[in-house]
Amino acid sequence: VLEQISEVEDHLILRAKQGDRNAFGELACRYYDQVIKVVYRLCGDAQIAQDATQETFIRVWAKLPGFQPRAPFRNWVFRIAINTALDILRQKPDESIENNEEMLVMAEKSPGPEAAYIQKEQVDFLQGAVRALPEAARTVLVLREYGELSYTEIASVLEIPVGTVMSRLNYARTRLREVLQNYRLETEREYA
Amino acid sequence: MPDPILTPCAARGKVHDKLGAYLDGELSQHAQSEVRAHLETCPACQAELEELRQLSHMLRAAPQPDFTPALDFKAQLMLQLPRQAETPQARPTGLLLPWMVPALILTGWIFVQMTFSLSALVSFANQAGVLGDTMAWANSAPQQMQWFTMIQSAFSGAEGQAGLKLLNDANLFTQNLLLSLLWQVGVAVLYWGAMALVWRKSAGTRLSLPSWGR
Repeated sequence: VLEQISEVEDHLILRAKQGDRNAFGELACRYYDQVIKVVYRLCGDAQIAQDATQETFIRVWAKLPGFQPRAPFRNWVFRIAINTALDILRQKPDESIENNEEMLVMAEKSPGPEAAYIQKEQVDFLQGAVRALPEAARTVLVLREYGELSYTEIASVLEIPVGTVMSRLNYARTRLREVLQNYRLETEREYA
Repeated sequence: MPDPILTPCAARGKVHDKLGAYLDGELSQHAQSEVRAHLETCPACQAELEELRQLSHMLRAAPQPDFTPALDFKAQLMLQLPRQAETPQARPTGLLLPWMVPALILTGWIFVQMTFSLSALVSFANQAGVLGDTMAWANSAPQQMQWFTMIQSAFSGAEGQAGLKLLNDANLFTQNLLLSLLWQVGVAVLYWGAMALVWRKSAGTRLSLPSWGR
């Protein structure tokens, strides 16, 4: 079945490379959910994510004639998506979330008053903490957790060694665990 | 949260950094069994692994907004797509000319230098009598050399002297054929280096990058 899917996809890519817009639309449909999921977690804003995803597929269309299948098409699309999202974030410094330590500290100190919402707040809080991670660590974490890419695929998408993927992922997870621990301690203190 | 009474793991440095990869199933078989064996005896690492698992679960459980459905997105995208995708352009032939210029200049210069050097060699051999009578025709200025005499007389004024001096000074640089060739090649290499940078830049934006990424 996987082989059949791959064959169909290869055929779509070939047709799209030759300028077939419908084939490209089909490809975009196939990857839309994966791309917007990753881009949203990277940006943390639904509207930016929607815009970045559209821009991603426009760029993919524009660059498709030069696409060489040295790596899977999906990795190539993810790479363009990551670059597009980061470009858009950099163009909007007010909404940029990179290295936003202030946001992280704020998130650490603002647990909600209702115990019933703690779980939900933890998740929301964690999202804030993800957005406050440095760009490099955030990108690797998002590709792993939301893109569900293997370390090798992440390395291929970002053109970095697998060892760097591991260390960035370790950093991101360690940081998030620390932040989460502090959050829980604060919450416990408040509800004690 | 890890139990505060758990003592820190002694193998922390060795195993701790691998816990994430272990959870992701990204370790080699050997490393995987090594970590698994360690986990059986280490409550601190077990707690840490559980914490990582919980973190991953929370991250994935985070809700996301309702985005435009895929089919609607496709319809919007079709309207936004440029009429035609970029086609990889062949390098314009105009770019060949700047590449050829130094090659042509260098070839011409080498030709002139070789002519002068050979001429000097023949002249020296003639004066030394090595060539015997074979070069007797070159000893007197024949009719064909009258134009040269005229040019010489044209340089007899002050400006002409300055011009001849300039030519003479320039000649100092070209007396040593090897040296002159070296600096000419050096100049050509610099020129081609600059051209290569320009080409690489233009190739980066037009040709190679579309194949992979930005």
